[in-house]
This record gives sequence, structure tokens and C-alpha cells, in this order.
Amino acid sequence: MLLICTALYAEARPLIDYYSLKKNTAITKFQVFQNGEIKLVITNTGSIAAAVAVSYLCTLYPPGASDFLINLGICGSGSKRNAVGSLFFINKITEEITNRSFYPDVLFRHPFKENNLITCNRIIRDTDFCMTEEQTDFNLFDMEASGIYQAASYFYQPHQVSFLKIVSDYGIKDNPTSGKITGLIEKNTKDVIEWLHILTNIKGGKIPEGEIFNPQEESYIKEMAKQLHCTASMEIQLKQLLHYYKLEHGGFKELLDELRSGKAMPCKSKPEGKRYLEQLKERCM
Amino acid sequence: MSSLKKDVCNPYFSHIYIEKDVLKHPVTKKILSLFPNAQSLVINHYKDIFCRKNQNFSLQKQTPGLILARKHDNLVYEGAPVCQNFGNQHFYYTSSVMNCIYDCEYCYLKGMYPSANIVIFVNLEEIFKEVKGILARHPVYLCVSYDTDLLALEQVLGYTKEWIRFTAEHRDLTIEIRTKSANKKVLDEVRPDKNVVFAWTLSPEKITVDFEKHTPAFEERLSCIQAAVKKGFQVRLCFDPLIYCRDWKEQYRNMFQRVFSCIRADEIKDVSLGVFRIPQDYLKRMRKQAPASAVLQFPYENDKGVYHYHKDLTEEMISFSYELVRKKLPMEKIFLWEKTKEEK
Repeated sequence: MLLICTALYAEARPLIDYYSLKKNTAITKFQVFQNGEIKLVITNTGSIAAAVAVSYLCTLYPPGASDFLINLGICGSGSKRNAVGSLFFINKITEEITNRSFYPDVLFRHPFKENNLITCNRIIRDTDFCMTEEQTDFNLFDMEASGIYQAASYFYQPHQVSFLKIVSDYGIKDNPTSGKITGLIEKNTKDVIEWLHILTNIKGGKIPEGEIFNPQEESYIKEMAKQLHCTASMEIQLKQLLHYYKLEHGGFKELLDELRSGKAMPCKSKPEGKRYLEQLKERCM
Repeated sequence: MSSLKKDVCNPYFSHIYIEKDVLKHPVTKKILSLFPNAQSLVINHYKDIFCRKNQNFSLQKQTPGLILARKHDNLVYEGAPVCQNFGNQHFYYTSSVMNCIYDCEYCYLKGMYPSANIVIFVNLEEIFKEVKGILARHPVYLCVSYDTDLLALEQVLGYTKEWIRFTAEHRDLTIEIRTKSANKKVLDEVRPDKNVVFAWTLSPEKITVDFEKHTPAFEERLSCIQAAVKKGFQVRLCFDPLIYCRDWKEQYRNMFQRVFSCIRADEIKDVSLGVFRIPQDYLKRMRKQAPASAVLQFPYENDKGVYHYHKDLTEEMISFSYELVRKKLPMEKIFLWEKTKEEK
């Protein structure tokens, strides 16, 4: 699943159009658009609103190891070296109010320039541009990223969360129009979509828990544990043995059938089950 | 864990995180000059990166970042009980680097650290200072390459040479440099010293190929060991951990034959033997990260918080290996993992 977060509808529109996302009218707290594995939430502005939206969506649709969250939106720039309309991949987010920094893991290749970002809890106007000398390495600023990162970190690993920011201004004079915002996003949509396509084809590199055994094997193990009068700890041992055996031999049903042949099942007692487990252990080596 | 295609992941050290405090340190400058295309990010403390919650160690291992930091307090530790002390009373270790560029499936670092990023403590001079303080009290036997492989990182860091230089100035200090590297270059650049022990970990070729990703092949390591003994370096061979596989006897028999056909007993300082063993918390984490790893999913026995092969297999693996090594080496040159020794 790909979860895309934008603060404003104007930021989301090009992606809603491209992916033909449809509004999920069952969700009323936030505007959510979706199509299959892609979900887009409009969080509204501010890091708290953004954090709540992320938590809400992640609770409704808990992410797995191969899922990603993308925050796409406009940002201000403290430096005029960053042209309006240029897109940056964020590698460091600093929350202005606490001065805490967060670092999404940049493990996968991407075609964008990287930059760092400061999340403020107010609109930065050109008149109150007040970066201190120490802050000059913070080139970009927005109002959501730190909230999104902190909320997402309860559900995602640091490499599953990415922030793409497009420079819209150098401190706002007048609020930008929806048309201007959508235009800035549209200018970068092709590159973003190409990268999202690559990203969503990456497997998370982890076999989700519980997939070691298929449902049939799971029920076979449960039945076996019952017949052996396994305690909780014996059942863990049985599972570990069969896990190892499966990795070495591809399956374990034949092993259990072979060991079971000629034995009366279920076992009469726990000690008998224990002896059986020992035999199984020797056979697994 | 499924491996990702190389073109999907960033290259090694594509991101270098630098603590504010060490921005101007000469080691920082040297390392940054070696990676001109890396993204450099200033951080407050290495733990801001290294200790983030819920990191994916396996994925990070495929594309580790570099963290340059200053080590504070506890620069030198007393040796842990699961470590072989080789009969040395004052046995210490130090971690000037955390994590390793190799990717051994069974490596305890995967259970010990929350991140696969490599942390380099650039303030080696402060570690030297602390060692000097301990040396003022008694002689020191110090393992300098425990939670990393310094020789493998030598081209980037140069710490092996620094440690050898420091040891030459402090004759009560003996250092062990544990490695799987086949970096012969360093051997040409330093002089053999009786207080510097190069300790090569060796595993049969099959184990190396199956479980020791990115490490030099068995023959490459052996060739490097031969070069070291020829030059007169103190060499220790660590057949530790011994790793179980279905044909382990054949694998280890062949390996010992090959090793001792190339290296004479009098050319090496000693040998250590020990089966794979690991604290329970580490194994728990490692199993979660690598559900498809046979070496980690093996049904080990938990003995007071340390997992190892069950008693019979442990004894069989140790006795088998010991007998083969014993044919070539005197008893006093063979060190067994202490727990096993107690059991024997």
C-alpha cells in the first residue's frame, strides 16, 4: 500500500487525477481518496493535524513491511538558490518548536536533489524571516513534516517514509492561490510518479511474520501440539524445530507422518509428548 | 531476507552523518574527502541516527550509512564472559568502530545494535589516553577489532596502523586485531611486533559462501595469513564460531587439512576453537530480522541466557575439531571456549 499525504487539496489534485483516485465517502474526519493499493489523505495544514491524519489512516489501514508513506507538498525556502518549483527529497527534518531532528532512512535510489527541512508551527512570512546564523543550513521550511514523521514512526520503519517538497516561495507575501500550488506540483508530477512506480515495486526485504508456515501448516502444527499435550513452551520448541526443518528441507509433513507412523496418537501424557519432541529434535539435525 | 537489486539501493556510505562536535576533526575531514559524492548531514549525537526505533537492520545492511562521532566515557571495556581471553588476566576490548562492512548471517552485531549503519569514533586519541591510564595500573591485553573489522576498513580509516604505532610505544600493551579481511597491503606497511596479534577467523569455504556475505573467500584469507606468517607477524587462527551444517565433519576436516598444509604449527601463536553461541536477546532479534536463515533458526538450547548447540553436538564439534588441530599443534597453543572447557 502507498499512502500519500498532502496538506491541501490543491497539492493532491495532480495525483488524484493521475491515479484516478476516488473519494472514500465512508471516511468523514479527513478527505481520503483511493484506488486499489494507493490511498491519499488530505491532512490540512499544521503538524498536529498531519500527525492525527497519519495516525487515523494507519489505524484504519495498518501498513505492512512493503508499504510506503509519502508526504508531498509545497515548502518555503530560506535561500534563493533553491528555485521556485524545484523539488527536494528531504533527508533531515527539524521541528522548530522543540529543535528535535528526525532522519528518514534514505536507502533507495531516487532522482531528486536532497535537502533538509525545518517544520514550523506558523506560516513563515517574508517579513518575519528570522533564521539565525546557526539555522542557515536549514534551507527549506514547511508546517507538517515533523508531525507526519513522528506519527508515522509508530507504524512504519524509517526507510518507509519519504518527504518530497517543492519550493513555492521565500517567505510568503500573499497566500498562494490553489491554481499556483497545483501548477507547482504538476510541474514535478511526472518525476514523482516515475519514482513512486519504482518504489512501490520494491519488496520490503522482510518476510512478514506468520508467513513462514502456510495456513495448512499452521493448523497441522496446532493439531500436532494438541496431540503431544504440548505446554506453551513445548509448542514454541515444536514450531522452532519445524521452522528449521522446513528451511532445510522445504517442508515437514512427511517428517511428522514418518515419525507418527506406528505411534498411537494422541499421546497419553505430557511426558510421552516430551519424549516424542526429543525424537523429533534428533531427527531434525 | 530477500536481497534487493543493487540498482535499487543507494551505494555504501551514500549518506554520512557527522556530529557537530567532530566536524573539524582531522579524521572526519579525511573520511569526507574519500566520499566526495556522499550527502553529508550534521547531527547532534550519533544516537539520533543509530538508535532510532524500529530500523530495518537487514535493509540498512545492504546500503549502510556512515556516522562520524565522538566517543564519550567508557572508551575501554572489560572483556565479556562469552569472549575468549587467551589466558590474559587483564583482558579488555574497545570499540572505535561499531558495525562491520561484512555481512555474516550469524554475526552477533545484528542482535546487539539497533542499526546497521557504521559508526566511526574519530577521537581515537582519547581512547589511547584511556588505555594509557589503565596501563599505568597494570599490563593490558586489548582487543581492538571486536565489534567491527578494522583491517577491512583500513583503506578508509587507517586505525590498524594507528593501533600498531601506539602499541609499539607502550610495551605493556598487547593488542589483538580480529579480522576476516585479506588486506595484505597493511602487512607491507607495518613492522611485525610481538605485542600485536592478527587474529583471523576462518570458516570452511561452504560456510563462508553460505553465511559470510561480502567477506574474502577462504583461500584469499589463507593466502593473507600465509603472507603474515612469512613476514613474522603474530598470527592467531580463530576457528570460532564453528557452525553446524549437515556435512560439518567433512567441511571442517577439509578445512583443517588445507590450513595446516599451508601453515606450520611453529608459525602461529595459537588457535581458538568455539561453537556458535549468542545471548538470547540477540538471537531473538536476529531471528525476527531473518526468518529464512537456517543458521539462525537452528533449534539452539538456551543455557542461562546464552543460546548454543545442545550439549552433545557442542561436545562433538569441539572434540572433533580439537583432535584434528591437536595433531598439528601442542595443547598449550589451543584455546577452547571456556564454557565448553568447563563442561569437558
